[in-house]
Amino acid sequence: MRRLTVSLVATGIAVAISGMYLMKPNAGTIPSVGNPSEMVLTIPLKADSVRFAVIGDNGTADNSEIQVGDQMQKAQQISKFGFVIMLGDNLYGGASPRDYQDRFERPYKSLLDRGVLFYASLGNHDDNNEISYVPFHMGGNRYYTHTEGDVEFFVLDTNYMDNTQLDWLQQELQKSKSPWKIAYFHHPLYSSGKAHGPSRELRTVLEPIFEKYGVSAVFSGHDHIYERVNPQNGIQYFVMGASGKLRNGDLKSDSLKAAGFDSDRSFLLVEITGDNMYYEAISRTGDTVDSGVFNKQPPVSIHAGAQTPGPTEGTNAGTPATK
Amino acid sequence: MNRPANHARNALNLAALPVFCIAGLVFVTTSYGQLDRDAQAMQDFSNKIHLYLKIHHQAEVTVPHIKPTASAKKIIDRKHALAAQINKERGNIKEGNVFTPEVAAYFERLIHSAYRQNAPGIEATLLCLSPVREDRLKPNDIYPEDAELTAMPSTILLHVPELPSELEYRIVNKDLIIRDREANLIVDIFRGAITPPPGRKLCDD
Repeated sequence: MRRLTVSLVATGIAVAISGMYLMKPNAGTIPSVGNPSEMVLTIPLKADSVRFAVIGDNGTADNSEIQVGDQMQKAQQISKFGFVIMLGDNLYGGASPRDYQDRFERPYKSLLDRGVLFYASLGNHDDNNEISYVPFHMGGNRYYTHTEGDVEFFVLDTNYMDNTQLDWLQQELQKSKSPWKIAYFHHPLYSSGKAHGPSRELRTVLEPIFEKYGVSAVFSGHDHIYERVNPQNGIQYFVMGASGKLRNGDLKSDSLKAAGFDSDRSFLLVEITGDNMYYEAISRTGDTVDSGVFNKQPPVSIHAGAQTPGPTEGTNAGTPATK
Repeated sequence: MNRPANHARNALNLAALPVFCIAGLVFVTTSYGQLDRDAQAMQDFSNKIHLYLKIHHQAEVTVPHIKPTASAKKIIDRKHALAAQINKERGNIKEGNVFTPEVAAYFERLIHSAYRQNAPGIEATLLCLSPVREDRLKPNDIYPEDAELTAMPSTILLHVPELPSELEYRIVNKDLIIRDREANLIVDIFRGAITPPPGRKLCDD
């Protein structure tokens, strides 16, 4: 009994030291995925909406990536999202054909089998030749656009932001007629991650373009956390770099952060309908760790109940949020 | 009341005029000299890049471009075959084949100019060090496949000459390299091109 008490105290101290603010029995372990019917989504699942999932820094080939893939499959069965956007570091060490299988084809097999499409961007761990890999739908380009309903996506290569790419981006944004313009790429312009943080250099060149041409939302990875940033000049920024890699306790507490999750892997589910973008961050264990809605015009975040967890804040990120 | 003092100041100004003129002339001459050297270096650089591209395109006759494919093996095999073919055609190319002393000096000035514009931004981008052993960085060698490529600071990219789409600049350790994107081959290295930012840390992600 005494040994058990000591053990429990030691475990508690270890959890506290590791900066885990979400006290969950299975956090950090590899639990089973569970029954698909157990998942309850908070996005509204409206008719004719555009639904997609977001993953970043996923290509590790370890169990955690596979388990996030399993949760994505469950979410897909319910939401019927048609595609996934990938924020880079799709294949860590993707130097052999086996890497493509282990780090992409196997973890997302069920989604691929169901016809879900993946649209990749390049991270700092990606080989440029991934642009020729058909399942990534890059069409042989480092940067490209794709349109789904009312939403046009601008996919950038932030490893190498030269004048040619900047000119291309401006031209594409200028000619876009889509009500929703969403950009995604690897390096975040805003991030409360301690390991990397924001790329201020990229922000200097990209943010004025996004503002000028009415980009509504931006998704990035690189920091191995989930973060929803408070809207900056009307643009909603997300960091989703924890779909395979994780940097436990890496989120800083600052005024930038609207909500975050850094104690387990996660992915994001997004639904766009009319002027509203609903988002729902789901952990590897199937918990909703953030959710809400962003209104495009005027650009105000009106989410309710989304948590703002952080090591110093002590709030629970595990409870599903209400809309 | 200040008239004598003004006279003295005017006299001094007049006396200084020839000095300023000579200094100005020297400055203008030096600047023009510098411009000439820069133009020459730029031309030299451009010629060498075109020379490399010619080899790259020759290699593509043997190892043709592939259309996007679902076969990872085809993609990787083509990359390796292209690298081998270019390597063969370039032979024993030496370090400095593109970054001649004149071109390197020109790039040094461009990089310096980029730092003057946004040193904190560049340093932040380069804060994460993903070191590669210097002896693994050689012209005509494969860029180590187990090493990540740190993002290229956009401020520097906006200062240096743009490369054709087959090629890119990267900073590795303290060096500026030109890399063939498709073949993952190092074209040339300018060692010690940048000063490592203070507080640089090892990153593995």
